[in-house]
Amino acid sequence: MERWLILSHCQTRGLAQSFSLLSSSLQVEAADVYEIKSDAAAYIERMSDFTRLVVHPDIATMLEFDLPGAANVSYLPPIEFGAYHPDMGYYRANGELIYGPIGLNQSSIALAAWHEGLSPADTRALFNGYVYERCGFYEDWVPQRDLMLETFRSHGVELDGAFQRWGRKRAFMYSMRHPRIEVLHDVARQFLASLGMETRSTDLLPPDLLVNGSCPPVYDEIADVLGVPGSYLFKKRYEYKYLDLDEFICASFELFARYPIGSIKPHPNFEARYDRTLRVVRGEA
Amino acid sequence: MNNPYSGLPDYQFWRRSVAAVQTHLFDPTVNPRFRIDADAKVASAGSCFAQHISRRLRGIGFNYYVAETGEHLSPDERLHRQYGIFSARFGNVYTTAQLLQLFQEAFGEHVPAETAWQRPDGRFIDPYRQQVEPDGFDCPEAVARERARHLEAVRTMFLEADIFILTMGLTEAWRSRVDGSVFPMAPGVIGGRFDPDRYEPVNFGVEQVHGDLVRFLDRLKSVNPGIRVLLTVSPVPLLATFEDRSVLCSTTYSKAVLRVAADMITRSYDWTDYFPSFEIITGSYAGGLYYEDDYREVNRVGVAHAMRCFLSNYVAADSPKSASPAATKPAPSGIICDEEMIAALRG
Repeated sequence: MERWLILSHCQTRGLAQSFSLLSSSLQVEAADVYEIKSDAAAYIERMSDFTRLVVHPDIATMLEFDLPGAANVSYLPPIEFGAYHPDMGYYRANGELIYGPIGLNQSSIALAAWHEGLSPADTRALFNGYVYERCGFYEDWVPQRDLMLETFRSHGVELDGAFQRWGRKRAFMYSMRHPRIEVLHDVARQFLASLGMETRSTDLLPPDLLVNGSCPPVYDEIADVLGVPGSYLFKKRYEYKYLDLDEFICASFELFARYPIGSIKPHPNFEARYDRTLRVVRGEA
Repeated sequence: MNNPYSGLPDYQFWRRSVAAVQTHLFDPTVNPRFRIDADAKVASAGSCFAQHISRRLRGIGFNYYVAETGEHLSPDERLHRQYGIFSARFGNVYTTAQLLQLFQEAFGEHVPAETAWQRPDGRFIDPYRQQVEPDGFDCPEAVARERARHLEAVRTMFLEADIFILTMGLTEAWRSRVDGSVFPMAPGVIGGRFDPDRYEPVNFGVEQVHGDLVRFLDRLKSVNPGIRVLLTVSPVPLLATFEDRSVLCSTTYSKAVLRVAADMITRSYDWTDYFPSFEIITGSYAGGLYYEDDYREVNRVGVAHAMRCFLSNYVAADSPKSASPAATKPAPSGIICDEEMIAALRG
């Protein structure tokens, strides 16, 4: 029996429980980065108990202690895929990420409209396919797919076949960094395969914990292009409650109004998208 | 080792062009014969699925040509009385025989024996477009007057259109034993009275469908030399069959006949083309995802897929197909979920 420690972030539990279901030769423990940090000494002492550590590459650099030698440490990247939610981005004010009506995910259209002084009603009118096309919202699938698959491939995990299945009935991401459990299950299966380990064939999946987080919708027009059902219902984080688009815009404006105009800046990964959206809202693109 | 398949393009191989492509990215359209300019007058006719096409064409700003607009009516009244659903108010045209008959009547080459049927409520309907006037007509003369106006619009449509999109629906029809006229629905369903001495069921074969198409296209080209025709086959299964067999088997027969006839036409007429909406919706690659729960109606996602392929291949510009390497990155490295969030997601 091998003892594994899965060290990741919000995808940790789903991965660990998938590993347990998929292999009878594993005893799996999960810890997210905050659990590790809160009790670092205990984990350091126990590191030698584990026959393998499966670690999120970014998190490995955030720990305040060294991981054991490379022999039993595997790096497994997270699932990150934003093509379903191209309007969503992370934004900062005063150097800190801001949290809005559904958490970290803010609408670039709403923010651009607010910066331009548009009313909620005029902002609402911007949520249409014409604007999305000009903002480049339909352009993300191929480059993000290729980037994600290549990232996993570079870590020895082949996801091409699984990716073919993921988006067949519905969006496989709740948000750009929260996949559905079947995706994590496939990642776990392919990771085990990359180690040459046999896996069980089972249709049981662990609980889908990430649905408890915020779930921005796949806008109808974008859903049409990506072949999945869409909506304009924004699920709040930790609550099983939706905001409709009007409520979301109003709540977003309330958040933005707490900051001086121009002080909310996109995270560098979302600068290009926000700048383009702003030009579209201004009628310049 | 060289073989006849060496060097063929990817779209000729299942593994490369179907199995390896995400469902929504699949596009079986190959080498479209023409592009539709933004200002081209696009007319359409056909079965239920054709309504999706006409609606979407209007929705995306196409110059969808409506020769019978009902301008004198309010928008609600127009909708209620089926103005603008197709390029003229002919309702669903299910069979190629019905289409040929409509053309011939519009150009004075066919005068049907029957002109009006009475409904159980006493009102009258046009036997060749039975549902376009939900409130019915007062009398047979009113039906005839309105039909004369309608045929004038149909004639204008065939004369003026630059592109005609025909969605072929099925091969079964009810036919008059008196003059051979075909009806979109059986007598007695909405109006009229079923009389086996006057009406007969017919299930057209390839030769008949092909023959009707040839006669229609030859005549259409003779009155409108610049016309180009795009053929499609409706992916919507038959609602019912009069054949003594499963409706699914009759559906397969109908669609096969129509698909073969379309292929025969496009091999003979270089100003026609076939758009594979049938394949996009029904293909095994889609796994039935593009149907509603009744396995018959095409859902929004399926219609969107078909129209996306249509726009990508038949419209010169403004297609959403292009992919840009400048697309946003998915998520920022170095940012993880906040502690509060992760705690809430630990389960």
